[in-house]
Amino acid sequence: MKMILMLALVISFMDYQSIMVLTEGGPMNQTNVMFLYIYQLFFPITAGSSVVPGVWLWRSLQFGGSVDHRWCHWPVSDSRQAAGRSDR
Amino acid sequence: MTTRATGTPKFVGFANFARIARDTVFKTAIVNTFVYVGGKLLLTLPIAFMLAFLLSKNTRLNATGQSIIFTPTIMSSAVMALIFYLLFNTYNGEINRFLTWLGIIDENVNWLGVKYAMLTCIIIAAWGGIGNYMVYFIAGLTGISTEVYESANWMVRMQPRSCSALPSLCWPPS
Repeated sequence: MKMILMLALVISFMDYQSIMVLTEGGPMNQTNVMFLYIYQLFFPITAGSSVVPGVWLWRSLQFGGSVDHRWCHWPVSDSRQAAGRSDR
Repeated sequence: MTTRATGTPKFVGFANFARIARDTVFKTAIVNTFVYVGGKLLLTLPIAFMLAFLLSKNTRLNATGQSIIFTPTIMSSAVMALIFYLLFNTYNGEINRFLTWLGIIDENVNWLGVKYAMLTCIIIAAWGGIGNYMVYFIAGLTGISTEVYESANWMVRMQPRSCSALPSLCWPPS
């Protein structure tokens, strides 16, 4: 039991990937855990970037209702679209 | 030592530690970490123990059940999070649709909003971890001899079998 508890504790402390994909530590740092914060300190994720597929996944759901051809394309971030630049 | 990337290094002593101590986001992150870890353990371990106890007998049905419950463990946590991102979506999510169909909620709940974001993350992490701990518990439970169960049953007839297994798991006889 002690071994299982120890393993569970260590694995739980290390786990931040699912939080990073789901919420990126937000909203208002409500889900920002220690290792995610350190990761974001070194590799900052900006809002609307193509690192996390939240924006284009959301658009697929909003307009398509299901997963469609937009999944096949690498998304162009909002800032790039606004600036009129191509995604190279 | 001078490099093109970093320039000339400068010794700052404990300045970095002082900086992190002043950082309010880091303090929030530490609190959130303990909430997340505590919540995950509280949700995962009891369910994993229950499942391990139910599926510990060596039958074909139990083996199938163990395989099904263990499947999320071999899945990438990023993929798992993406699947749950779809399920917990506020407007098109299946969770909201199901709860509305059951009549539990009237309007859609923002599962990834300020109020429920941490709870959602804990639930998802627990779902991914239960299979792993179930295997550990099964390994522990199979090591307990049947004599322990028999003696416990002789002492208290009505006592559930899980109550006699738990002390042996926590304090195994040397």
